[in-house]
Amino acid sequence: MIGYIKTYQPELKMKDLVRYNAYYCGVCHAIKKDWGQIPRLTLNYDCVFIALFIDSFKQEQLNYENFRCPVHPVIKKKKLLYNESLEFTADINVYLTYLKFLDNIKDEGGFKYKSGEKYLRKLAKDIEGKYPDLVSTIKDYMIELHSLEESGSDNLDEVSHCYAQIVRDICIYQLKKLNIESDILSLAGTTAYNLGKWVYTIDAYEDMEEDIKNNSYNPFLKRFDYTKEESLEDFKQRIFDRATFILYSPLQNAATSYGEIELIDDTYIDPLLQNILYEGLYSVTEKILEGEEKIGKK
Amino acid sequence: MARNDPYSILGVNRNDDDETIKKAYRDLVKKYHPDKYSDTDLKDLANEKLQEVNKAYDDIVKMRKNKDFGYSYDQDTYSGSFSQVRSHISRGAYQEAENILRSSSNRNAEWYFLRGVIFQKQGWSDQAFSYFERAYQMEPSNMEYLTAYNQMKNTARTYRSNVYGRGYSSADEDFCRLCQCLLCTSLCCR
Repeated sequence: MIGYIKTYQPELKMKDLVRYNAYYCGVCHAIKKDWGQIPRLTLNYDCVFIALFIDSFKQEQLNYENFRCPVHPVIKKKKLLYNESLEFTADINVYLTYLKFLDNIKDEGGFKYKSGEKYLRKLAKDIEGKYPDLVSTIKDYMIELHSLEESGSDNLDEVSHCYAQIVRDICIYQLKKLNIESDILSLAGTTAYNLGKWVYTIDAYEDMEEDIKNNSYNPFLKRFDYTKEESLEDFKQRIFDRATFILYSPLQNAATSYGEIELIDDTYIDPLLQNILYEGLYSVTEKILEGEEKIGKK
Repeated sequence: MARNDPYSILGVNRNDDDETIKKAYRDLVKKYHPDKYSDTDLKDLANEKLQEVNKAYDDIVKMRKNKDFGYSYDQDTYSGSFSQVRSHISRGAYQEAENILRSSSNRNAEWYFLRGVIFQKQGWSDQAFSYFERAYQMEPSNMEYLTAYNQMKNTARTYRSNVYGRGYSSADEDFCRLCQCLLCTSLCCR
């Protein structure tokens, strides 16, 4: 369930695009510095978003550096210099990938994930030592999620709640260290919660085809009583209105709480995050509802 | 006054008291009630207006209370049987409110509505939708339930209109890639 939180480039200002890319490269370099070359492959957009989101409440001067990326050797790129928040994001990125691998093994098994999991397990242990409280809450939610999936829950809100809480707790963990008002903190938490909920939900929606094939659990299939006699096309058609609602309502809730932050103190508002929250996620949702292309990565 | 100013949408003054604003809001909700319009075009238009009015009222309540978002639940205005639940909800004490509802055997329309509100406040929208729908079906003439139910039905549309209101155009993202490509080439040649 990673890689859905994206910018919408046609409406993005150049300076914001540069900043976004600098964060992406910054997190990538932080992963290399702390965990080595291989885990860099796990970098995903959602974690870049988490870094941006947390930093938007810090309001500090950003320090950039030019470098050459081996993946794009011709162009000089800008990256954000290593700092505390990039370090945190890099750790979280590796840990979430580890959880994703565990999840995939459960769903599909397979050599690819098993060897990956073995490799990441060592790193995950280190991260656990670094943030024992945070990791233990994340684990609790993963266990809860697992048991709901095992029992074949048809309650989409309940199932997506676990992942939503994980994203919320990750953001709150960092934001708590800052000196921000409790109102703003709780609204930021609600925004993060709803984004997490959206990511879980849209991932489940996109996975329906695969889950039917593998005969594995999918909350949408349970929620709307899918039976084998029905084709996926018909099923999607049948649930279209409600699914549209289910996918858009966390976005609407996230936008509402982010808008409330703006009403209290608009200096916290970052146009880059607004671009993601409105245009970016809208565009992803529309594409997935229209069944255009695969967006998230496994 | 700005076009989006919630006070001018409701046709009230900034200094008016809560009661006046609530009255203006209620009058507008009655005026734009979709049941009054049989013609579909008009109905859509009325529905849009209703959304705008709902949002304006919500914004004012938000701005005035600052800590307490959403509808305002005054015990004196609503004489329903769950006034205690409403007061818990308005304080944000959802667990207490939920506990009272769970132990209550009186499962009327208001019971479903209030559970819906609690779900909605916690971001459990799919559940909230079902509960609001049930409340509305049990008591279709109740404005409060109808408004909540319509708000759910229009969620996607509200979000879309927010996005388009910000100037979103569904440009082909491939063009962006093309631009980037050209930009890169020009950077290389410099």
